Amino acid sequence: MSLRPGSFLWLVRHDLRVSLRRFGGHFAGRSLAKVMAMIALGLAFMHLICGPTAAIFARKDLEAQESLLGGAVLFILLWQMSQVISQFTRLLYSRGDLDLLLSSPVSGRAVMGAHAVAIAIEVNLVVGSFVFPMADMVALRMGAGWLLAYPVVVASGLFATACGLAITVGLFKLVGPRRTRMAAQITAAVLASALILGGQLAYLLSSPARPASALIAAAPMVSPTSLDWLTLAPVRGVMGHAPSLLIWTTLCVIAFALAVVRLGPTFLRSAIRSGGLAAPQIVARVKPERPFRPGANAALRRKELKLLARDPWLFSRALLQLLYLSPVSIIIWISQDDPSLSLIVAPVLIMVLSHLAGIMAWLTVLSEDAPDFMATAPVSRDAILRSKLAAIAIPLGLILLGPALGLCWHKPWDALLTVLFCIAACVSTALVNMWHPAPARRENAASRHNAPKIVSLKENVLAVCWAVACAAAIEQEGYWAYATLAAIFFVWINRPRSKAHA
Amino acid sequence: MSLSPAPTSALSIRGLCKRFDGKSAVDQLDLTVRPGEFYALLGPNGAGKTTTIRMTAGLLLPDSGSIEVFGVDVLKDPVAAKRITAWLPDEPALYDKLDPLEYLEFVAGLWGVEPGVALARARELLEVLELWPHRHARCEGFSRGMKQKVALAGALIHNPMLLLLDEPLTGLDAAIARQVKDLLVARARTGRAIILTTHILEVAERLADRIGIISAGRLCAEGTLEELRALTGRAGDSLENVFLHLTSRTAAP
Repeated sequence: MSLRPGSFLWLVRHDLRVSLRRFGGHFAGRSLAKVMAMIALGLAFMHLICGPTAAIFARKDLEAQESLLGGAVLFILLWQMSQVISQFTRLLYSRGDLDLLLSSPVSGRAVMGAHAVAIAIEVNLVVGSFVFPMADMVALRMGAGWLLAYPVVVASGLFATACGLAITVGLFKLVGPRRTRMAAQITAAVLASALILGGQLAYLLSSPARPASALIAAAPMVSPTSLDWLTLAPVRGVMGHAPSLLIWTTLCVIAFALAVVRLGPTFLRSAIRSGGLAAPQIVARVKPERPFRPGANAALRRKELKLLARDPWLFSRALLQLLYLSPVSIIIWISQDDPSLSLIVAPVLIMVLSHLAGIMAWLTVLSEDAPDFMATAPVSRDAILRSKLAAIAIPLGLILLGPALGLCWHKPWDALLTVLFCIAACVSTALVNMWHPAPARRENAASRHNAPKIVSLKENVLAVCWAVACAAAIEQEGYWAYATLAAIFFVWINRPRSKAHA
Repeated sequence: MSLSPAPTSALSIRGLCKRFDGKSAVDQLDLTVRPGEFYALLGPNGAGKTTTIRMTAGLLLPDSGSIEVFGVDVLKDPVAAKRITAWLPDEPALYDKLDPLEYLEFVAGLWGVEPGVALARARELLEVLELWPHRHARCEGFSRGMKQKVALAGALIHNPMLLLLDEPLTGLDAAIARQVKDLLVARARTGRAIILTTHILEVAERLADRIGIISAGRLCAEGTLEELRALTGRAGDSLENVFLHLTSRTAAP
């Protein structure tokens, strides 16, 4: 297709090509056929695991289906908004080709519109890869009409893009260019977890006497009576009500267009202001003078801890994980005598800590900013690695300490098992990250740690194995050994095969 | 117990070879630098300067040959050799989230410098390099020149016997470059050996006691500027002309 250079569609095509190349970078070194096969396999897997959920959904009565759809629509919208905010923030600060485009004679509105369209498409593809298989499986059971979820979700992506743009611009005006990146990362993290956490906390706080076991069956649901027009229209649209679908898509398109036209110029002005941040700016700090401290290993640990504590990307990721942990504290507090207490706490702790361990291992070991300099230091590679791992263990241990002590108060044996399985999970996810390196500077962490998607998948498989093993061990079910062996086997098959990685 | 005699060379390289993908980067290189000497290693792009420096710093393993730093075999006892060596690349290897004082404390810790001595040296170096007012500002806000000065302070904090500088003046403005040059000359006068690679021939001409010209991984000429001029029969010529003459002669089939 030949498009006039500089036109809106030409810019959209350019943005989509850049997005596609970035996505292709996740599969670096693999042939197109292999990548397509992997995507097809992933989608088939998603359809497979959505099958049973779709069956459960199909058995619900209409009212319950509406409630579940209401929750799902809100969840998808918040998820998309979280993704959109991250994308607009990346655009503001990573710049990419923004400086080139802003310095060209192309219309700023066209540039902004193209970026917004590309972001909406990208977000829809990411979210859709999880949501559309579910729609397919429901449509398979309940009729093709349920495929209307596709336009509803796509329209929701446009609406989320409009909201995300408004939030990013608002944050920029509210906290200024220097703090917007951090504020946006936190907002995105909170939005991503808002519905799950809100639902769980509301459920727990509404009836403190309820046992933790009831939470296992609890899913985010929104009562139809409490739904406003925003959630009713898409819900009924998915259920085949044509006027609702029309209203929803029209509103979303109008919101998107209005945001681009009205907020686009403000965003571009923000982009120009944040561009100045690229220039070096010395921030004076007042600190008390203190003597230097001795020891090579201590110096390495101190340096890693300082860098971890000062890493904004890690901060936002850790905050998200700690938000997920917050209901655990309440559960421990209110469900003291519940036999299912450990079953709730242990798997969540394992999932959260193993994920953090993976991120920290990646940051400390692979994102070393001065690897050549470290190689010239009179310290062995093993000593450097040991110090880095010790630096990771300290914050992880501190996070584990609170819930473990709380659990220990009520169920000491379960607490011991939880700690042991947490350690095993953290060590294994850290090892997988270290064995399959994608080294990069810390400042590129956000883009690079997500790059090896296959490593993220492995992290999740390991965390699930260890969580299942721990839950089974707590329940004294014999299959804990199988789950443990599965995790160990998974680590073993992921060991480095060549000396280069050793 | 008999004391071994003090080494007569700060750096002794013999028969050094390194190949990348079958292509020779350093080929049977012999090089000697004396204690207290400021030695400039010059050569066209891809001549093998950086590869030689990186092998000496312990960042690359040679295919064959030997490297000794003040009598310590770099290949047999790398930790002992690293203890008396510092390496400064053209791209400053810093941590953006640390401030200069934290960085120097970290480097001093790695090299095992006694904390009191390290703090005094850090203060002295930061003052000389005019970084003391910024000692608590994180390096992420620094200009390239300031970062290079912090990296230089890091290279000097443990008072190395051998200083390997790979294009240390790249990107520095004239004032900062002058500061760095003065500091390096002062170091060489205290008996430390300095090896510098640079494309700025004027720097080598002004600072170096001896100049080595490397081409296709081999040392094709070595000596003082006068000796190199005599070698080419171009008395009074600039180093640039001498360099171009020597490298073109070597490159010719």
